[in-house]
Amino acid sequence: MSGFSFLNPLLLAGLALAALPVLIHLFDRRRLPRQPLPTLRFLLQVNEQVKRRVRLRDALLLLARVLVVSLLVLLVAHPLLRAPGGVAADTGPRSVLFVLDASFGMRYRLDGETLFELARQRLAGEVGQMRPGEEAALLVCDDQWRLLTDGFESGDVALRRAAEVAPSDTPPRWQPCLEGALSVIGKARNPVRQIRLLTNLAAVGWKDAALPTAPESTQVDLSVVDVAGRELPNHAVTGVNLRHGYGPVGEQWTVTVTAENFSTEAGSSALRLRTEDGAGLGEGFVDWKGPGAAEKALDIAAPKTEYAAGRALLDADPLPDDDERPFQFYFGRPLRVLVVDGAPGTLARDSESYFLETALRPGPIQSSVDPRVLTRSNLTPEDLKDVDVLALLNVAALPAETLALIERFVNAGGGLLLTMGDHVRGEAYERLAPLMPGRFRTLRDLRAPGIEPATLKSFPPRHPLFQNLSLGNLSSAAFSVYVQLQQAAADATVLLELSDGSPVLVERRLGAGRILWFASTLDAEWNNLPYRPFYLPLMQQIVRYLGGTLRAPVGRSFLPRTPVEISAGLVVEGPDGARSTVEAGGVFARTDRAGRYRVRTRDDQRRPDLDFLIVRDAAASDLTRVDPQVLREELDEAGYGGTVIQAGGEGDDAVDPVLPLLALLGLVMLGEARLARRRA
Amino acid sequence: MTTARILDPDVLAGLGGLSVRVQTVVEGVQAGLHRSPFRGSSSEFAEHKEYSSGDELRTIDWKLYGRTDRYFVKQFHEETNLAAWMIVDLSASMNFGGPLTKYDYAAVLAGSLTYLLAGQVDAAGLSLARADKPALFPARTGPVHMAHLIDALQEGVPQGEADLARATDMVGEKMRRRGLVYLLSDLLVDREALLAAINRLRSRKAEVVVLHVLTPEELTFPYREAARFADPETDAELPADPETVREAYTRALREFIDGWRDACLERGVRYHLVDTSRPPERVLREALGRA
Repeated sequence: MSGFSFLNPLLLAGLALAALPVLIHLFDRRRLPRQPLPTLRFLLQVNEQVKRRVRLRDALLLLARVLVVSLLVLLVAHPLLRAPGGVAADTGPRSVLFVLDASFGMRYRLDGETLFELARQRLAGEVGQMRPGEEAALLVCDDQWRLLTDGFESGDVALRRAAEVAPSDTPPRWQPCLEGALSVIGKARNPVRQIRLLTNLAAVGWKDAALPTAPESTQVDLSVVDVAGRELPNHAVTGVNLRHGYGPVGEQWTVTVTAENFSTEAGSSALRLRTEDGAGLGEGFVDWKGPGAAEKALDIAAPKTEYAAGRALLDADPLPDDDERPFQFYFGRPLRVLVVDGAPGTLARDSESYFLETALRPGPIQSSVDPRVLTRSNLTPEDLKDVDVLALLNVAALPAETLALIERFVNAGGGLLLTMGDHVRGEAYERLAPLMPGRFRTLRDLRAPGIEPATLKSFPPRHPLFQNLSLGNLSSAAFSVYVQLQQAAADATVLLELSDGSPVLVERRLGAGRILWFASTLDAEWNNLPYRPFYLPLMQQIVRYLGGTLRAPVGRSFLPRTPVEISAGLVVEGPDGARSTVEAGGVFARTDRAGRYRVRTRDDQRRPDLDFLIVRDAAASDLTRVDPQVLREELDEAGYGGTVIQAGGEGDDAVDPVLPLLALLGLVMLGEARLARRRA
Repeated sequence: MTTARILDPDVLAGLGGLSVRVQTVVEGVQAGLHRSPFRGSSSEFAEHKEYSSGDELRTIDWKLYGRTDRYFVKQFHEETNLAAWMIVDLSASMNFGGPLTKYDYAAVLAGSLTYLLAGQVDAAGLSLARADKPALFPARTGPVHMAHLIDALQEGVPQGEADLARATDMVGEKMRRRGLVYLLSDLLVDREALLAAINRLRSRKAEVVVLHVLTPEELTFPYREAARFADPETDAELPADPETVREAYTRALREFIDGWRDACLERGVRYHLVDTSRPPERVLREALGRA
């Protein structure tokens, strides 16, 4: 079938607007104001001279304006010189099932329009060519399929339904979609049945897809319409990993960004880390030598707020939505540590507390630990008020009241760090027994000449205390004096051992709290630990572990449409700002859109620790195209009578006269401007 | 306040009745005159002439005879009152322009002339040219007559066409001796008929002054927007874009004015193009040859 057709035939009604210049012309003539002029006779004389010229020019001007309006309407209606291949078959009335690709890649922009918009225009063009008696249905597919029409209806209904949908955040999966399409087309009423699949030909949708075989009972014509018609180079941020650590300026986060290039060409892009408010956190550069992923790690200073969120951004490309990815941290409030020094020195640096305090608040660099030092051991409830962690350093025998106070403190969830020293002897140890992880055995002193000090052995890396902690060469830490236990308590866990097998760091639970027992001193008197590079991070980590605020990036990440467990009654605010209350059952299922989901209590208090992220599967950004020839062969093998139609290319019979029309429009507008200027 | 300011057409239009306007204009004119522009009745000595047969004996200058021993007779200017006529066009085309219409402006000029004539005890007559028989007021002197003429001018309503040639002929018929005729019109009339009437007037030794009254709108065609231009006399209409026709229009109008100027010159008629945007005082001075 050949001849003129239009992608948006309904818009041809706009040709009525071509009458507008004529009407305006007539209206203007009729409405010309009356102006008395006694010397009209001279005007009548000259009018005869100029009338013919003016009339000709006015007629040309009118014609030009009518042409401009008509051409504009034609351009909007998007004419095609020949019908898109095979749609308007010359056989009987058809039932056409339009399958619209609504996967994420359809947001890709070509010449200012998304592929999804182009697909809709194509759909409109094909609906416009349907004849009376023909019917249409609309199926929308991404990784799922949805029938948007009530079975087969008129083409206009399919058009209206198509206008109500938008591409999702998921990659396409054609196998289940085509199975759905076959079940729908089976209910068609007309003998000629066609499936028109409007897609960008992203290969990821066809990957591992076994095309369902065409039914033998009825001929089904399955045509895949490629609305892109060209390669779709794209890059995307496909992962963001956060790691807490300690750098030259104190606490820091290492943000590792995975950026993937889905083009066959080499490429590069700037990489920026921004806070939620747009402030810069760090910048880098990503270089791809070809298709594939590149990782870039950027160290950023740890924000001092409890909660922080940001985005990793690449340079925007025609699919900008995947050029950024959110991330977020939750730190909790700053830790308050009370350090009780049982043997303070005359000078600060002679005190054990000096080393610990310096490690926890290392001068000008950033730290979210707030230590306070006491040199008396008779603690009062006031001393422990609002304290998260209590460190007893080389404390001699504690008064019974203080001991009871500390037990209550730990039972209530407080953390206790207990270190040994020359003051912890005999009675003192006995008094501390309820807090100790084991019975005292001996004080081992290796300071005699010719005796090698004990060194640290490996640690359990999976224990939360050691996660995200780089301790380096542990054996460089030499212990000359330390307390040996007879046997660790049943509820105690040895976290660090010395080379002779003696536990040196032992954990014990007491009520809701934790106790860490250290067998030596935290200054350099019994060991060289304070001079090891890992002293500072180890102390910080110990205190945070005791305080229950070990830093780990929050923002649980899920793929779109994953039900997220969250307490009932909380309110979740989606990326679009819409809020929903989590129903009984504690599952939030409205996770269609990628982005950050913020959680609030019923009384609108933020709960950033419960926030979560919905992130796209990297496959959604992979727009590498399937070879049309291969796809054509697969369609043949599966028994379909259709083909692969590429927009403006092979397989598409339609000729797009838009450019010539645009040129003509330009010429006519030029002429109109020239005539109008003369008239003026 | 200067006279020039008082006589600005905008100001004049706000002065109310014609009588007030006329007095205002005349004051301005007299302030600039050194002597009367009119020759009135007098018995002024003119020259001596040697006696010849037929001269009246009573005119012989006997004193001169005593000194020269020759007969000379005294000659005097003729003792007469001037009779001046104003012919004012009352066609619909004169009802155009603002703030003073062409007719308003012509009436101010005619009234002012009447006022000046009355001041010198000269007779003033008036003819208001209409489609039918013109309203004719014979030339007479005196303040009552002057007031009568000014009332007639004030009550004149321009409408329809005007037979200016007929009005001119009727003035010619009423003139008993040589006189002065002021023709105040936009001359959008039957040119040939009016020129023939002027010829007849001239053959009666009348001095004719044509005051060709046109508005700035007619002279420059300043319109910007397209309009239906309409002739108030014939109701003929023509939609036109001023920008397109302005040049040709002004050329045609210039030919029209030049045609009248030339025709007047050929007939010994003084011609003055009167732009209604100009102060009437100045126009009067020019018309009286005292600019």
